[in-house]
Amino acid sequence: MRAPRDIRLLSGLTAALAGLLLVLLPVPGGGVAHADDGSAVTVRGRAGALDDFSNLEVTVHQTTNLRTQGVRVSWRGGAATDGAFGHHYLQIMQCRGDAATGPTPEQCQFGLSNVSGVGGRHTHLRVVGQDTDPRETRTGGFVPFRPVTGDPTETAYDTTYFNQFTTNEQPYTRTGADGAGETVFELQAGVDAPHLGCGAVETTGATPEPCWLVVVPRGAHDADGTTGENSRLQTSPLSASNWAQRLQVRLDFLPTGEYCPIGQPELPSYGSEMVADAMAAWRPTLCTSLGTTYGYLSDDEETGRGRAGAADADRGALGFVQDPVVPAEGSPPVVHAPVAVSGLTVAFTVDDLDGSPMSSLRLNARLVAKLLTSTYLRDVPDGAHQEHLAGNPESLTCDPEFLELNPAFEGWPCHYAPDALIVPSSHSDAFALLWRWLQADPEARAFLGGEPDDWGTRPNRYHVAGNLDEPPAARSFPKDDPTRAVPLGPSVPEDARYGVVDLRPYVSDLHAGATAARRADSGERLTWDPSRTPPGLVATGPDAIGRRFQLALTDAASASRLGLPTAQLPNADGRWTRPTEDALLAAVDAMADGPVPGVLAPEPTRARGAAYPLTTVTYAAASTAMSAEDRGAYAELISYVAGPGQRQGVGNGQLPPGYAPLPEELRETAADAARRLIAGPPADGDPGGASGGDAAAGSGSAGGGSAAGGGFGDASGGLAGGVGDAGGAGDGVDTGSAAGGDQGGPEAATDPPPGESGGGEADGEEENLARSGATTPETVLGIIRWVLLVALVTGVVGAVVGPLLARRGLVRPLPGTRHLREGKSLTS
Amino acid sequence: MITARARSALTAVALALSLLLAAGTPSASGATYARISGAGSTWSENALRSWSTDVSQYGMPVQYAGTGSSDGRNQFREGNVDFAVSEIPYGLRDLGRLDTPPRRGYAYMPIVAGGTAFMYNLTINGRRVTNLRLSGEVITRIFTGVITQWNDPRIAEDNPGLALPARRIIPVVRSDGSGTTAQFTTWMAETHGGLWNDYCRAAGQRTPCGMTSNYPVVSGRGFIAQNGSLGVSGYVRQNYAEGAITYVEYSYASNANFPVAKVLNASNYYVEPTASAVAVSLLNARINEDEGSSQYLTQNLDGVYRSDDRRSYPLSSYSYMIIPTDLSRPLTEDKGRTLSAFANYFLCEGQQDAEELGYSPLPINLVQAGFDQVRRIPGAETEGIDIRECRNPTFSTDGTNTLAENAPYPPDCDRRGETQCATGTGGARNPTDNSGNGGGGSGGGGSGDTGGSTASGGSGGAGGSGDTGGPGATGGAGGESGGDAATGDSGADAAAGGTDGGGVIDPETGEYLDADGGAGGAQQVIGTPVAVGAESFWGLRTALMMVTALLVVGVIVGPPVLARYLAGRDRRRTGAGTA
Repeated sequence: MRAPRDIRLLSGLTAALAGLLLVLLPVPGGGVAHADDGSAVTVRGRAGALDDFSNLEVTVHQTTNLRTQGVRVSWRGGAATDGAFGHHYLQIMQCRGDAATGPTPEQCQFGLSNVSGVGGRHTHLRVVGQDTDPRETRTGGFVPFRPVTGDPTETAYDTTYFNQFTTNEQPYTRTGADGAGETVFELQAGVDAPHLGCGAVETTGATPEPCWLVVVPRGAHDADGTTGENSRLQTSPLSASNWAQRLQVRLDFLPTGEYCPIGQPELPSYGSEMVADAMAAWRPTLCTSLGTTYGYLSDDEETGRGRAGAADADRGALGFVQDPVVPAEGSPPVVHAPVAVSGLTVAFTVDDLDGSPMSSLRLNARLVAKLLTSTYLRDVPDGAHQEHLAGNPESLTCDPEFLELNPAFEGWPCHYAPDALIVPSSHSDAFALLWRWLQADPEARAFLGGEPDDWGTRPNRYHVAGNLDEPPAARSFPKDDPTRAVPLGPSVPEDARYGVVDLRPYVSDLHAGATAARRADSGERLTWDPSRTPPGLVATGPDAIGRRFQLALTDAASASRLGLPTAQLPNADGRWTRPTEDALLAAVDAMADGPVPGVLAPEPTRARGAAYPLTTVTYAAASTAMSAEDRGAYAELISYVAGPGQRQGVGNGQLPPGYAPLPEELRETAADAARRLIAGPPADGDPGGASGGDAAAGSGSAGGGSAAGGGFGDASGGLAGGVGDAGGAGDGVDTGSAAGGDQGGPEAATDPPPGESGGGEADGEEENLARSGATTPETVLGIIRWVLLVALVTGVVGAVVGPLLARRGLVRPLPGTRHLREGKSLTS
Repeated sequence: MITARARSALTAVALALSLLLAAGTPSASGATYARISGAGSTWSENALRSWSTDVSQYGMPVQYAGTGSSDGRNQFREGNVDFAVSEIPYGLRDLGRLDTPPRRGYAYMPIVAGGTAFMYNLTINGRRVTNLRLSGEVITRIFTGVITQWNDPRIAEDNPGLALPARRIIPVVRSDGSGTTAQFTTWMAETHGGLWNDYCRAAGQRTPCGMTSNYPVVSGRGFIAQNGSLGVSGYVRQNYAEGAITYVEYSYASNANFPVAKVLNASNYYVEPTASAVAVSLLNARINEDEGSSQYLTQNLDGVYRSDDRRSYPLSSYSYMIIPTDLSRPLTEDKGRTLSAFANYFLCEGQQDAEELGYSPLPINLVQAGFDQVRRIPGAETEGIDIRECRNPTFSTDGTNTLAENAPYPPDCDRRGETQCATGTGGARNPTDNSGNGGGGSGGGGSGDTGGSTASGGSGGAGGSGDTGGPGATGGAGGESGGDAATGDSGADAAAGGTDGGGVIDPETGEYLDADGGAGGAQQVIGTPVAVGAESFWGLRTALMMVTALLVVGVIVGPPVLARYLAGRDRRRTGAGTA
């Protein structure tokens, strides 16, 4: 009687803790911030002294819970912009101020955009005066900028608070022939623009400081009532008459979050750019809630693998990777914790023939292949005269294959086209995924291999020579066409030439790609400027607003942050998909383990149904070879980011838009990895043999309670006599790993189908103990092994004896057990 | 079980509370940092970008535009930015034109050290060369258009292990005003002034032309000029650019996965610009320590060029931040405070990443000098400046430079003479797609040197460096850099390399391939076969494994099955009873 009751108690306790863990790990969703979250505000213009804007309706598509991000601004009922911004356009700026009446011109970030060639003389400046505007009362000749704190600016060109690199003003946005227009405005929150202080919190509990989006519509008349000079308006939007016509929308920002105290040592992490945005959101919370400040260096995943797999404990660090780390023979196992689901995407800024931004575009695999391999005449120097491209379309815009998918582009001039696809110069696992996607598509693969498309477009033979159609997939984007041509412009020296990397330059990384698409600036250089020192090629500069057409490869989070629309890409079923949360999760669902068990390998051919083919799962990899202190700190990071850090939202500590929250299964994998990381390598690991190390992870598979396995492996020698079966477990797993290379073992852990509910009791116990180990890994570790072992053995005995006793009527059955089990099987 | 639920519920509540606490009530933001903005050097851009990302977690907005050193100095002079980054100071004559200093107060502060590397694209019989060595004179002759073919006997003299092809050399230079160019031309002017002046004359410049930010290009010599560091490295890495060589900061070669040339130093060793080689070299940098001088803290690198330490890399240098020292626009005290906090960060904590980024951390004397400069920024937070708190990786307790102290000595095969190490360099430690030779060496372990065949593949002879292979015993190196076993195919030499490598890691997928798998491409992989599956399948371990598996399955499946079975029997029995 006595013993079974203890077992019951133990079981109850265990289940309780298991329950605790179940609650702890998944974090409720909600608070999801989408571009259109119901806070859209529409304001209407009015009939003013100069022009009548009463038909103009401007909508700001998100006005609450704002951070540093892009917001969509659209309008209709305006008049069409003429020429190079002569008349009828909108000027948009971010302003500070909490007065209910709205901001004053002094509170607006405007006047330093450094644009040239469009608009009238002062239309992009802070310069004002009575000579040009009879209603203007300022006498200084300009509108000073007044920051939250500090002195106002002293000249119209004072760069104290913002400059051409940091301002977000949009002095010229175009209204199309239909009277409508649209743009994405990059808002700056208080931490990025303290002089505006949007979202700053003065005293704890106070409402965050609001800001304003101000739109100054410009019509047919200038401030002095004329139509301007040289068919262009000439005055600043900040000038009194123009300012009087403004439309304004109040913006409520999220409170400025807490940031790390400076001066703490940083614990480094290295690797994939696919987690960059998430890390930026997580880091301030990690340091404030965990007390450890983490460094993060965005780099090739190869660097992450190098550091995570480093045999030398001093070099060891957390690495963010998509393809797994395979530690060297005999070195301690490396754990892999999934931390972020996102995807590669083609983001774009395209203005239609009316000058209004488009929001939808389709690219199939072969079109992406064409854009990546200098297929169009425009994307090769003097392409029209290159024999190897003869007969190819001038650009994407007049490729019949593109037009078939995108009829909206029918009739566009060929030269109005993207500057190829803007790609990074870096190397990445994610880029290999893109190439694998192309290789998985029969048409794209044939094209990369040298087969012309159905319309006779020929592949670029220099790229065909690169074997891009054959595995292994490339990890970067070669620009193999060697063609060089004489630059445009005057006084070109005899032997000056430009090549593909001048015409279609690389950007440094995916984030820079998104910025390039946002600014519609590919960095193209093909014009010679003899007045430069020294004379040389000059950048063409961004596409004119209303005539923008750029595509860039970037990550879903960057596209989302900058408010960029993304192209629809077909998945293995031919369905058009975008990296939405559902599509990303569907893809993860379809993934299977790659060469290292427990690490999902994205496989484009499996992306069926709603799945997005370029979905990435980024893993935090860390070696158990590191010191207990580092392992503990990295395990804390993993536990946070794969737990509370998966709550979607904007702001510190949350998962930014563009990522999908980790599915339950992956969170468990991550929690398990964190536990194994804490447990560390086998105490008496024999570096020469394949044994020790892997058992730790290996037997974790058994019940989902990984650390228990660690106990097994290590303890097996000593305990084998007493508990034959347990010892067997450790050993057995070892053997398995020896056969599969030493990485085989660890990951076996995460492998088992989650149907282990029957073992629920033992399960919970182990998880509990593993967690308690988390606090003081070093000291508790030794005990844990024994406790876990005993726990499991007790579990086994209890599991067998319990029902038997119940059967004999000595105790009542445990109804709760079945409940628990049923509950679990429902979820799995 | 009720307890369990109660606890679960309690936990849920606690969790919800903690989440609320984490994200709920807005707390006062405290002191925020004013936004600062800078422009300049692309040589240092990779470091600045990384630091600016890092400090964002401290709520510090730092924006940097890598527009080139010359542009950065102009922007600073015109008051458009708060700071500039440049490799050269103001006031120098550049091709006869004076670079006027700004009227606002300014000072130089060292920010990061590094090596100007020679990234190249060369293959022999379709295999990428990763172990090229060049002497200073040959480099100068290449970049002045005197040596035009890779099989020039003067290059062969540096490379006894390579059968260099009769291929044209394409020197790739910067088309924009660049600190990298300034560093390189300073070195040429100092060490091979005659050759450099001849070239300058041909380019129509006055001589002696000395240092210049703008590389003069002589028509008809087949030079290629590209914009920015990304431009030159982006050109050299292309397949069609075979035969190309450029000068660029080491990190760009690493990022492009391309090799860099080892450069001959004054002790007749060919050395790669690794962090430690740069640290050793800079021990010989003479710094202008005359605080009254307008060139205070600028560098005189003569000693670096001629350092007799055999570990030193001759083209080592560091770059400066040009910081404001008065409150001329656009600086304010708030911005000065941000700038000083940013500087304190990157002089200490930020230097931790220098090596991974492809730079070399600043030594203590430069950090100390940097601190002194930071104090001159109006609004600087000086109480936070403490050298003892500084987590710079070069610092040691006894005042020596840890990095330089621990810098490895070059192996014998790197000595000028008949042998040539086979190890890869720069970013080409992992064989690239079409490389095949791999250069053997793994980045991490000491095993590198034995790495395997020479990069020249068929050329033979060069692999004789096996004698340096001792360190391979660690055996850990194989996995780390993924691919040291993917060595070339020159037979016996490679086999030695393979022993410590074991298996092969597919460089593309990171996939572990067993010994006979082949790591893609045509090259043959040589290595001692790993005992994969060599053990009898039906051995004791397997048996134990099976037993374990059965037990585990039993533990999982047993209880419910048993319970159900028993329960079922109960039901049947009771059912039978009632019926």
